[in-house]
Amino acid sequence: MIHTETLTLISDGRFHAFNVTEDVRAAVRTAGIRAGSALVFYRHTTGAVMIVEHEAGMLLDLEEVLEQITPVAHHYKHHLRGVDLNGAAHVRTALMSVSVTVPVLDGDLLVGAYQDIVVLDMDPQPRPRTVIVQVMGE
Amino acid sequence: MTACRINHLVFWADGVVVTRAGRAAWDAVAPGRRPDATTRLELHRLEQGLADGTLSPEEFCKKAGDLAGGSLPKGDLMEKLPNQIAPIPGMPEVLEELACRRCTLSLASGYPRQWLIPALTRCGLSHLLPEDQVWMAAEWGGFPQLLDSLLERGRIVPGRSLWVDHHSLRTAAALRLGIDAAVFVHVRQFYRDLGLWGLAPFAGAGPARG
Repeated sequence: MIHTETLTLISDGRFHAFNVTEDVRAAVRTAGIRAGSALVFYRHTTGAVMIVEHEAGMLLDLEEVLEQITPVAHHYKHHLRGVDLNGAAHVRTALMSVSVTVPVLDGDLLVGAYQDIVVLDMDPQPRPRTVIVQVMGE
Repeated sequence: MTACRINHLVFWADGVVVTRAGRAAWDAVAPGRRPDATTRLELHRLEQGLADGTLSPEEFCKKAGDLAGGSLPKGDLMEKLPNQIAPIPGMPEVLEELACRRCTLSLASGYPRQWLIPALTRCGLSHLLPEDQVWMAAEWGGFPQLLDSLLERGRIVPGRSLWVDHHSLRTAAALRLGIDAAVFVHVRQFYRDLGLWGLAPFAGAGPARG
């Protein structure tokens, strides 16, 4: 069976991180599957989904590493259109991933004790962000 | 670096210790209804306005009431909202445990004093969080200014104080100032994290770290 849910995150952007592990776990329970997988997909081009230890220091470390290779205050060609100034977020998204897949066994996520599913919004603007959770299995 | 160096925890109240203001307002004006994404974003902006002092409590209530369709008579939300402020389940017990471990506990909040202090009393938390340990962001000019001022006045001490918050932008701001920070997701995870800081019995009986 396939069960799909939409999560709406109210984001302030600029590296706002959301731990959605419990939301995904709840979607697995709703789906009622025993074994399969859960796909978590960020439906935008200025963010990422990752499995990490959700810890404040790690998030800042990641931000600092990304700032070194994709500084926010760079003259991105993407800005030439004059539409927006989120070139750094787009490049970071391309370097990262907009989805993760987590195995499901015995009706629960098969994640490690320190593995969290974290959605990262790097857009400069606050806005609602959409994350799709699709649970597949039997 | 030793784990037990932390002896002071500063909680961002709204969403960590008690209900967030937007949620409290919505529950008062539209009980049982779920706000859509646009309304949630607006409530979030109103919370920020309240926290940085650009919105008075009266203005916050007026705008929150308008979002819900203005079903409450004018002035009613000002009275009703403080009663909607409730503890986050499990947090009173965590605070009690930390107090027993001789940790100093403080609150920083986007709420106005006139709402939060009575709510803490009503929720039975005022003995753990006395008023002189409760700092309202709006009284200090908003969030980053609050952090700067508390640091400057020695109310928060790098290396001793731990900033606990659900919002990653505020934890990052604290870390940039040299203040330790922990992300709050839910009580179970927070309790585990306290163990990692050496502040609670380590409850992690799961797989090895890493």
